Amino acid sequence: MPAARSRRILLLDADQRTSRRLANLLEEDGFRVEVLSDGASALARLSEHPLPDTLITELNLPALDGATVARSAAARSPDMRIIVLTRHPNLLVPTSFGPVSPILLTKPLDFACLLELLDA
Amino acid sequence: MPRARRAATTQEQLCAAALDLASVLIIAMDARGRIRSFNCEAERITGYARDEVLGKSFVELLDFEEQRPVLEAFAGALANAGTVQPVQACLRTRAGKLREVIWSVRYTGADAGGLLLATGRDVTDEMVRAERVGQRERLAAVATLAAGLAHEIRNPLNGALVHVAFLERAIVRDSNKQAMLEATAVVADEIKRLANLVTRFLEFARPVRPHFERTTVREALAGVCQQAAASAQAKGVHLLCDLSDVDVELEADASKLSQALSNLLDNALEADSKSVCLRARRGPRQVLIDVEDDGRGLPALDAPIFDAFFSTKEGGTGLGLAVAHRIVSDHRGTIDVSSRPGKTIFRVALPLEQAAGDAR
Repeated sequence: MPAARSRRILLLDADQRTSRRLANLLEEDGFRVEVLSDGASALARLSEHPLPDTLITELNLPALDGATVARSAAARSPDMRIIVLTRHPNLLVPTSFGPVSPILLTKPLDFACLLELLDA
Repeated sequence: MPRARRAATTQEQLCAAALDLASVLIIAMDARGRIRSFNCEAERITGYARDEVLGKSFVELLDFEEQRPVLEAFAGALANAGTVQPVQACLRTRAGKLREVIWSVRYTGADAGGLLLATGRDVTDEMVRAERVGQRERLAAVATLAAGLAHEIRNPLNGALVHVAFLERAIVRDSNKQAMLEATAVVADEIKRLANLVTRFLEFARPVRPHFERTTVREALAGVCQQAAASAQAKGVHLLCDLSDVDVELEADASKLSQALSNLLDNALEADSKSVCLRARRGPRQVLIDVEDDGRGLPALDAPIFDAFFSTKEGGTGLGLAVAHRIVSDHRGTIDVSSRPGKTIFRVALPLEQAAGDAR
């Protein structure tokens, strides 16, 4: 079973078909996963409880970018683990995350790596 | 000395001095094209001394790639007794080098000594610069386009890989058929290979500026040796990483430098070699890092091995050496190669200090 702190996951990606499939896989491993596809609805979700333990977000999101969502998530819950999915780590501006230091995973996502990270 | 004579002499001296100060080639010829005077710049550009060219044929001496435009300009000047349109002609220097020169030709007329005056401006460096800028601009445009494309490729790759993970799990659960699992593993590998190609391409097309810090060669390259050791073992190649003598500090971007050396090591490990050696030593102002292998050697010494997408390996991306070269250049260093079958050495020379105030 995954550690208690990472059981609830909010997954943000514009590619919903893939997000849902990833959510299926994670749910089989005992995680509770919510899938959203844009930054604005993620921000709205983050104002409600219970807050997720882990936020997995793509950097490019419709409405509001992943870095903004990540900053807001960290402000609401400093313990929240933040994993950023990026298509090009080179383009990432670390300062755009403010005080947050996210874990970066490059797409295509290796599911085994993600699991290992979540179980850590 | 009579005053008029003195004035004329001064005038002549002035002309002679001006000729030699001029930053253009100034060559005077008789109507048959025999050289009568040859200024300092002409000596400098062509490599011939004045004494050895006087009386010789201008056109023959300078061995123009194309004589015709020059001869036509001469004929035109002689016929019109004036100046003709400048012509560009490529001359061969005494050392055999080619220089592009734009020539203006004028005939002084029979009354004024019947001389053909040719002045030439060497535009070789200008042309090379312009060509380089043009090439850089073209490359930048292609790179931007391709980087955008590469970036977009990651999303479908991501979708594909996540679904492969799903299929893998479903197969294990439903039938656990090995052949199907093998097939999905191949698909996953291919997706990762494509992703790796995209990563390498992006490193090449959209490099991040190096972030220089003080580091030591040993520190910067420790990870590289470890990584290379694993892949050498897998390939059955004997790898020797000897960085013990170079606990010397330099200014470098450690992660980029690691990338460059890792690419060079990969290249050596994939050259059908039995042993590969990485060693470094300190020079007066630079660190020299050699990657040596005993593999098959380069296909040809003038093969464009540092050009992007040049590869002789099955499944090679043709980006490894291009990226390594770019990183080393960004460090104001150089890579030299010497190669024959059984012994190939890539030598990276890195300055110990980066120039202060370097904004790159």
